Amino acid sequence: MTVRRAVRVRWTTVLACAALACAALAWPRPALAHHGAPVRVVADRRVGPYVVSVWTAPDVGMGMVYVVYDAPAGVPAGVPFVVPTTVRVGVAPASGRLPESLHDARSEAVRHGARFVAHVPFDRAGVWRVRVATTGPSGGGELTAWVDVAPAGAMGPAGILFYASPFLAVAALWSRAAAARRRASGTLRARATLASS
Amino acid sequence: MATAPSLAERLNGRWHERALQVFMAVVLAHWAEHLAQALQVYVLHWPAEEARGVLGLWFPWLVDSETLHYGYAVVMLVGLWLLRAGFVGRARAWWMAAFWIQFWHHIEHALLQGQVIAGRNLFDSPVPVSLAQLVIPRIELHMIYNTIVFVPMIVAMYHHLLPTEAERERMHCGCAIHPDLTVA
Repeated sequence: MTVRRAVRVRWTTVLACAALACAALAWPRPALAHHGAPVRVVADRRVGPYVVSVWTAPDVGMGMVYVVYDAPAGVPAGVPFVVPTTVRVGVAPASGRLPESLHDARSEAVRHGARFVAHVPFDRAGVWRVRVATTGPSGGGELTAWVDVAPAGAMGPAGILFYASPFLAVAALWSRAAAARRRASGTLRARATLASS
Repeated sequence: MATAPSLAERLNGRWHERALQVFMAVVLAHWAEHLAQALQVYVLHWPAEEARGVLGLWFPWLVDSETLHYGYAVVMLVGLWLLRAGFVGRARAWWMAAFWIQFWHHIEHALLQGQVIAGRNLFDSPVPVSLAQLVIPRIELHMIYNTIVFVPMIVAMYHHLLPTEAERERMHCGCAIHPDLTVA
């Protein structure tokens, strides 16, 4: 009785946890784990009145460039942070086969400093130059970084085979089980024949 | 007076085989979606951001949202936990290996959700990141997680279908190939 009750309580806890998790899912959010996480390519570089970091998710197709602004060390507390007016991101292949294309970055809500994000096209894998131009009432400047652009799915067409492999594994398991079942029923039949004779 | 078996007991007893079949169907449906995505990209040459599998053709917002992916992680976790008691011996060890890997996978998803809810990201990242993404920062991470959960699941099912004599004596379900015969 006590054991049964304890088991029920445990299941109730599991169900409660599942319900909580479902509650956390109640509204749609971007599929965070299924896009590559961005990589920091510039860390805390001084550009005009800002300390700037640049993060990129350099996937072939549409890549992302995040530009993070902070106030330099030594700025007294209480001095308001002046958000840049415009941030533009230029990308060009290092080989020079294409001219630089410029893209406006849009501001994102953050708790301190400022953050801008730009969607930029990378038509091919390889090394690309990323140039960030910042303007604002307190000043601005430019910085350049180099990024290695790679396809989002590194496996290529082999991915088809990879994603088909679970079905092959289940089919193999199924056929192994079927063979064992045939062998078992054959043995039963043989036993029955022996018994009847 | 004998009490009726609980749901958990039934799921790990006479319903175990059917429950495992349903669970495997869910797992394979998820893989089928990824297979469809791979076909859309590499055979149909659709842009990667438009290749959302079959479900995504009708519900693109669902495939692009964390809801579906985190929901699947939770379903996997609950399924692995609910059905564990039916496994014994080697099958149990492999099944629990799949469970613990999936448990960590779920923690990673929860970390991502937590950063969104808290409005602060780990490691000063401009987007929420999981711990494993620091080592494998690309989309392949999701595929790796699914694989390393799936492989021990299949091994567990193999040992469950074809148990040793000693293992079969401890089983309470009808999943083994033939309950009256030893299958080596």
